[in-house]
Amino acid sequence: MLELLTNNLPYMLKATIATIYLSSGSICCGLLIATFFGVLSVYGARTVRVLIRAYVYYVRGVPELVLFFVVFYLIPLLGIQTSKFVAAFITLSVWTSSFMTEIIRGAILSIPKGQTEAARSLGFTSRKSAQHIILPQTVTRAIPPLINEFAKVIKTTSVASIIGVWELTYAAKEISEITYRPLEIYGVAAVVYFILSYLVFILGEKTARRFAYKA
Amino acid sequence: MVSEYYFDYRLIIRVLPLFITGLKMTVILSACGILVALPLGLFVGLGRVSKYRFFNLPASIFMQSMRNTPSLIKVYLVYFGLPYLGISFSAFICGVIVLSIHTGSFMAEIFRASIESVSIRQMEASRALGFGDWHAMRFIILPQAIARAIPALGNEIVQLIKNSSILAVISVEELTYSAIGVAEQTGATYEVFTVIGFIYLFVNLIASLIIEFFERKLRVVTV
Repeated sequence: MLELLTNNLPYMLKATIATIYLSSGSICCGLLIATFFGVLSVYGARTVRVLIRAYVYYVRGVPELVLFFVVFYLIPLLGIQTSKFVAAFITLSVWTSSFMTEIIRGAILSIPKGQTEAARSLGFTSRKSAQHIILPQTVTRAIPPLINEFAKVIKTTSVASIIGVWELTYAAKEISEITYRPLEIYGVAAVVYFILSYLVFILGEKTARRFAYKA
Repeated sequence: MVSEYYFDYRLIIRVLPLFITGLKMTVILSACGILVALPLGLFVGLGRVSKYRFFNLPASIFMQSMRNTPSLIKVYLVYFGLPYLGISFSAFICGVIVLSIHTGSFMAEIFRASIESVSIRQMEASRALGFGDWHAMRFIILPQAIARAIPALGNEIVQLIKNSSILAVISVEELTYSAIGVAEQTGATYEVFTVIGFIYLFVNLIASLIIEFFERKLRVVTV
């Protein structure tokens, strides 16, 4: 048991780093997309809003695995050659951006309407009132649900192993097929995921406390 | 440069019966998963609000460990790992177990939050009127808590239906499995997975309509 672990730990550690790259990359990219889409889905033109709603509904309603397959086969059809890792990165960014868009939209809508009205009556333009009054407040409200979302992304990277992306779950599968010790190996992988996901919650709580405004 | 490609809808019509068999399996699997997950979530949730450490601690450990691990890893652990301990299940049973414990752990947190959202005064009032702890929970707090929990539970149910797709990796013959089979045989991957996506959307739409029906039916009129 101990020998099994010491022999395979370096390999799994390398795979863990791949998982961290994949998830942190897609969290950043997804958050970037979601910020644009979230703001546009409240303040954008009508057509833009409808398009974003449709995008969010489709991506949210489809299983992660199916989305992986769709993106994985769509990219070559567009004539672009990418590695599996990049395809997984794109899928996860798209997938998480849809959930984050809803979070940011919800956070913006949760600010009482009276604030916009007050800002407008004080002479702010609608752009300025959004920029200086509404959006700074949404940051505080959006952080806790966004942190849940980050943890979800880390867990969902494991699905990428099904389309053959080399990350923690894939490495665990490889090792367990060689050593015939699935219980221990998957157990270790589960513990690693647990630690990663828990770390995100702890870091998230610290960030939330930093951004909380004192009344 | 965009390669020559057109959407082959005739193929989809030809393989639709296959998808329908897969869809049936997905529906049965999700229904079993939900039926196990709801009571499991309720019990773990009740354990989390219990003042006795004997109930509280195991419930918390279960909830945290199941919430923070990917369901795919749990599928592998149960399907490939447990047989080494002499416990083996069919792929279907394994699927139901993993789906229900994964979703159950999320539902536990929802139940806990909704129980705690019912005012503490109600508990005090019913205790003052002579209800026992358990009776007050069962007849006063829980009915209100469950009504409040339904919208959030609905999200988890939709999540469970989507999650059932990963059971394709242990060859449970559900919708995604049949899609992968068809895609490999015909090479029409893009068509197949787009259509599958819309079938899932449709199923989830029906699920959320059913949940909305229950939400309206169980709505508690608060003064």
